[in-house]
Amino acid sequence: MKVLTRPEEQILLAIYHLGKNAYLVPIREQIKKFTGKYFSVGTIYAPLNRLDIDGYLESYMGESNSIRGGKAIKYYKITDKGYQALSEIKKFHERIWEGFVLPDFKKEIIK
Amino acid sequence: MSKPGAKIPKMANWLLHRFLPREDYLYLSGDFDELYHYIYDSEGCFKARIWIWAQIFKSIPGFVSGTIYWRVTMLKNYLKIAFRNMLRHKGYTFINIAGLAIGIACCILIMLYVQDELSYDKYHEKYDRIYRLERKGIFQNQPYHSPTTAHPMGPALKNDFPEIQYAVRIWPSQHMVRNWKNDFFEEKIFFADENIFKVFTFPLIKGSPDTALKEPNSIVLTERMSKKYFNSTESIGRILTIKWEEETLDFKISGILKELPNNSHFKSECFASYSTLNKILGSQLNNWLSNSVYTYLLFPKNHQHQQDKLESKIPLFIDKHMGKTIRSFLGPDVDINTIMRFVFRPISEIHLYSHLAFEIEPNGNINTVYIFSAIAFLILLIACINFMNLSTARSANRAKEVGLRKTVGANRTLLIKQFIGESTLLTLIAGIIALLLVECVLPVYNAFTLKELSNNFLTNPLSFISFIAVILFVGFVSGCYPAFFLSSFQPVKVLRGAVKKGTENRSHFLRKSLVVLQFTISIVLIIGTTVIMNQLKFLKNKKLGFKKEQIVVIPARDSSLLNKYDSIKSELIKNTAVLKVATSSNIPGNRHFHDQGFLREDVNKNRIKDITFINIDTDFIPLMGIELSAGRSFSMDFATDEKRGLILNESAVKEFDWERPEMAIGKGILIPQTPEKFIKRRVVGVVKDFHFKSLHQKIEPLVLYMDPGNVNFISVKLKTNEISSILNFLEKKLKVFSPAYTFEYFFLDTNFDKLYRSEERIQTIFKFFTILAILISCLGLFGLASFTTEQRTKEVGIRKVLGATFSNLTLNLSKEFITWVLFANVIAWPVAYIVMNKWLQNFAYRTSIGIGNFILSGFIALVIALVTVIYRSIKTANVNPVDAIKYE
Repeated sequence: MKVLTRPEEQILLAIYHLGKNAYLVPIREQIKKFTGKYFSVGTIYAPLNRLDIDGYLESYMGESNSIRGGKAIKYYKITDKGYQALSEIKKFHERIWEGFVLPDFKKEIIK
Repeated sequence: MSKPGAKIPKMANWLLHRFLPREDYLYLSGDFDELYHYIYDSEGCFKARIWIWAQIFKSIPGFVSGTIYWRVTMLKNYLKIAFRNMLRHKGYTFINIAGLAIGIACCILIMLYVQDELSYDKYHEKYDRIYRLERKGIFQNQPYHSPTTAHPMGPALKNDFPEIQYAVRIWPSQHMVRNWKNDFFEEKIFFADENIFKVFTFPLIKGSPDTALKEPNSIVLTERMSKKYFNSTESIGRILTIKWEEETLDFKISGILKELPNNSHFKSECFASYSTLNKILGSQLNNWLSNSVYTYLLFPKNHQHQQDKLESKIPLFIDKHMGKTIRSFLGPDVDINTIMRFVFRPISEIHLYSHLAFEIEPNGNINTVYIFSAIAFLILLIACINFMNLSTARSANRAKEVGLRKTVGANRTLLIKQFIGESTLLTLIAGIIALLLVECVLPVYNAFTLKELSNNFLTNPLSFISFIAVILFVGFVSGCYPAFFLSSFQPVKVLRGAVKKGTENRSHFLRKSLVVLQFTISIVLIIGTTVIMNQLKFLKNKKLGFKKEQIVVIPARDSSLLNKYDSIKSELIKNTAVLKVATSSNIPGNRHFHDQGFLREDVNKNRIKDITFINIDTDFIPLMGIELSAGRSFSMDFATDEKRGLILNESAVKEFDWERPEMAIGKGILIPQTPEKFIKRRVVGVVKDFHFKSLHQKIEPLVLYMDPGNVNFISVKLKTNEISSILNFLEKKLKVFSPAYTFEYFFLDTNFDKLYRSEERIQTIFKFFTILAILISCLGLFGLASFTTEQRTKEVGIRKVLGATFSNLTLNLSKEFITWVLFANVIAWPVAYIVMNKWLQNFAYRTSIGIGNFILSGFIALVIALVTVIYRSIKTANVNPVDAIKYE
């Protein structure tokens, strides 16, 4: 299985946290919470779409709301494959971060 | 919640609609609405707007690359399908491409010709400001229009009118040139004013354009001339000796020219300085009435205005310089303005529009350009029709594909694009083949158009663009009907197999009319060819009033032969193969004749007639076999004939107002030498009219009289077929009289035929393109016939089983095509009649367009069509019925 890219990872995690209310606008908000800045619509839409096509997500059309002027919302849900990929990447992170200690800069300098 | 104004601006919304992926548009635009709304609420209208526009701009690169990606993918598919189709139906592809390639090649060839014709004299940098001065008017009730002017005209115009920048005089004359081998040659020597290089852009490669023709006795040669006389192109400063009547003149070479471009209305080999003429011609240079000079005027920029102003001043100018002289000749109350006006003809129009009597060289004709362009268009049309017919006829083969494409979401526009693209691709292939074809046949084509055309498509941007334009045009025209037709199929019907192959009424009718149109064009071309051939045959066989066969003509240009003609004649006649020898100033069939004033003795002096004359000797009339209608021919027995005798033709008798030839005999004719001095000759005989000029013209009045000093041609009538031995004899004898003489000769009949060279050229080209047009039509017909008979394979099988004979079947299969061709005849005949009748108006003597022409042409077309169709039919009719019924 291929390793998820950073935006894909963030989007999957955002959807995970959002639960049932996962569509483009809240996902963008969620990522803002993670990273502190807004991503453009394009930077979210492209990986989102790719994840959907590749089967990490499944999408379904929901109701509209008053702001959208009747246009339906496309909600996303993480599939089993998506969860598997997330756990994979978690393990991957743990593996590559394992034993990582920040060196003590002061000591180095005195030495 | 939502406030007014919290909506995405319309323009942005529309762009979003365009740019967002179609399937995602609905919810994505909803997302955008929402985001816009939040930003609007939190950060205000301005920021929200900036945000949405930034989003749109950011999405452009993605949109573009996405579109291109899909386009390329589809294009690949289209190309793949197109090539598969071509390969699967090799026969039809061959017919289509071959037809189109031949059509485009014809078109290119003709366009090269037309382009060349239109480019005449446009290579001069200032061509749009150079005008040739022409005289026009009515003289002795005869309208005339001549490009020649008098010597002093140009300088006087320049002197009197400051709005003329330069006036260049060009005076063509013919002289012997002595070359390093000490032989004599005759060349065209053009005397020209020193400012010639300021007006014309002639390719001077050595020498200074300002001073080359300044000094008297300086001359500028072309490289070819220089090589001929000096064996090198480095001949500046050397001396060229020219014989001027009895003297020799030495010219210093002051410049070398490249050959003048072929698209010049005159192609001189050398220019000599005009100042030379001051010495030779002297006072003749101030003669306002002798017209033999071509005057070209250069106007400054924005000349149009200047020229109008100039025209109003011209009558005064003419009066000032010529009034006195003209009045002294023609009486005090003559209207000089009717006698002479000036016409300024733009130099670029000379070649195609000017057909005056004294052009420097024979010019082209704008009608030929039109006729050829029309032929090019028609041939291209025929080729397009082939393509349309075959594609619609075979549409059933593509119907399934169309159905499938429509089912998976192709709309009609896409399909139309696909099919037009396919035909353009095919045309492009054909175009490339056509270019190769053109490259191959160009030498041959050049040989019979007498041009030096080159295939400049890849170097000349203009012709390259027009080539691409033609390809796109042909691709579009031939592709658009099939495209619209094919794309209109309904997928449900098609996939169920409801479209019957090639038999839909609408397209069937169209196909029929297109084939009829094709054959109409072909038949018109065939009729045109036969009429041109008939007319040429008529011209060549028409009784000319003299016998042109078996006469060798020797141009007597060598002045050392002069005054020895009596002994030459008696020497030549000794050979038993020589029947008669005669000398004359001109011969029938030449392009140029000289005019002279003649006057009846018994009428007043204002009735001078300008009449063509030929100086002959006593043997000329019997040698040419010209018949007498009254009086007698010149004879040795009458000593006065040489100085006092004169012979008229019947037209001249009428011109002088005698009712019958007999009435003219013995009457006096005056030949004015100066306004006061006349020479009187008496009419001794009248000859029947004979065609001394081409049959384009009616026979004009002609005067024959003797002048032993004016001999340009020796004619020898032979009574043998051993031409080469007699020619040897003639050469040897003439060398005795003038050792340096270069023997030249031609036959009178071939020289006469040369008058129709331009018609002959048109005939050759016409024939060539007619054959190609028929070939292309037949290719198309063959394709169509193959297709229809193939469709009827089963039917034929059943008919055969039921007892139809072979001839029954063939007739049955080809019946339809025969009616089409017959119908095409009905349309073609009147069209051809009108067009060819118009063409024949060019000739004063013409053959009639007989019904034979039509029937023959119709027959030819029918036979060719039949052979094509029957060949296919026989193949089908021969098939074993068992196989035929199994077919499909």
